[in-house]
Amino acid sequence: MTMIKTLAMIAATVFGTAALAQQPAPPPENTGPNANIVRWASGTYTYVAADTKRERAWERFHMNVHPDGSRTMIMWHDLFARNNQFTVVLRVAANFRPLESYLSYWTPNGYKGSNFITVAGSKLTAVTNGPQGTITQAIDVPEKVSIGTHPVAADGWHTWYEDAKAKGPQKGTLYSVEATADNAKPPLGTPIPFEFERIGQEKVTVPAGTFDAVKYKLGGASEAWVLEQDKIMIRVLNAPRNLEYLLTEFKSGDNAKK
Amino acid sequence: MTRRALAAVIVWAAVSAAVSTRAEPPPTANANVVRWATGAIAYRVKSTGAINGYETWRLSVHPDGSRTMAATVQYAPRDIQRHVVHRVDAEWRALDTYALLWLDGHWRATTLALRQGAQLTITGQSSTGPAAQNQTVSDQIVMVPHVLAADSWRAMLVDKTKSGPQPVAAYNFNATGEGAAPALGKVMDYRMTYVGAEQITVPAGTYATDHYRIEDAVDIYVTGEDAILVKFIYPSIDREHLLIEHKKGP
Repeated sequence: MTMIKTLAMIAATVFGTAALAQQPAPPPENTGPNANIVRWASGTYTYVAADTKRERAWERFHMNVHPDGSRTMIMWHDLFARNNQFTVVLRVAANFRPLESYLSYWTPNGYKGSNFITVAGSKLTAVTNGPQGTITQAIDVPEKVSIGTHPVAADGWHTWYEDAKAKGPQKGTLYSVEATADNAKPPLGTPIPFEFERIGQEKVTVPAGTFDAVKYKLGGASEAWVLEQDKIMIRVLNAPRNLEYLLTEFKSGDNAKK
Repeated sequence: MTRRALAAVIVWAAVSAAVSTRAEPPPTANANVVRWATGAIAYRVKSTGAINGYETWRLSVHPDGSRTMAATVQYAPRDIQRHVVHRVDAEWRALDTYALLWLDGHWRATTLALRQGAQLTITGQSSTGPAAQNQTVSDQIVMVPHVLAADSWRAMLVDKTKSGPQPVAAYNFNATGEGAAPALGKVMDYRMTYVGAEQITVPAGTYATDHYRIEDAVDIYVTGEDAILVKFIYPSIDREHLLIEHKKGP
């Protein structure tokens, strides 16, 4: 990219200084959809107690699908019943294998910390910062790994390594981030065994509407209904623990069709 | 069920048990959020009013006075897309900022900036590989991650009782991801001037604002105790960005 275009871009992004504003006129601008986003979705969940429907929390998400098929999701989770508030960004490759995540956790005992996680091949590196200081974690992870950050929107991504030909439970590894109210424990993850099973196609109705979904059993205890294409969670029911998560608002768009 | 599968179920159940509803108190407002606000900013060409980008943000103010802002930006003319999570302390000083940048259809860089006292630590990833910076800075430093709602908070370090420009130290994230180290920015001073109080009307409503000027090039108007950006003007490149949606609550 030329220096002129570079300078023009800086000026056009309107965040620079006065000197930058005096650069030559920028090249013609894109007048179509943003080239970084081929498809997007956003939505809201409510968390309820499954038996009484008592509201426990809500969550918002926004997902972008990029030209290379990778996806970025930002989630904002307000679990008021537990006084937890989590902000999470999760980026995965076209096959949904995690690339990176950033999370920032507040618990009933205050700020627990942040964690910046990157995955490159078999290497997972996490840098956490919070009341316990800055701690770096570097571990090996298997190919079949996902990151559990605790908002629900991206939990369907835990099934990314599903073998469509296999029957019965499938196994992988979940890098599960510590999220308890014990703020002496930084929000670093621990790889744990994870198991899921595809049950089949099923229509599911939630406050956001009726969706053609794929039903999974996650972790042996939860039933989950997930959209096929982007694996966005529609509904989760964990009957043994009396937890239910319902999509209450949903919007999506496809820039390629504009 | 194999022993390993059984172990997986047990571990998952143990993790999940922590969120069983059985012992929960009745729902109340989240104690971590004493105040919140959400908003959307339309990026416009001033002369034509054409909208060519937008920004959405969500702010939480915490019990210790610190603030967390999560924001996304889409700026189609230059094919920029960002995700940012930005935290400041009760005095508006930078704590940590995460910024993920897409440009021209490609992931360009992700940067995490941490300030601890006078130590600034940057951890970056980009298509050219990892990068890092460590340097001593003023503990009054702010971050400029290039979302307007967060960038405008630098105005809160301006002393409104003084006339004329004042330097505000900032870590300026790499706006375009250009160069050999796309994830790395630089420390610089912005000359900020407090212009005065003004009432202005934008699509989101009419606000009592404080008007600041940056480098004699950009005018920003912020409102309230959380310095919500209401209006941003960059005349030399014909841009005017306006708050178009705003909600707030306790």
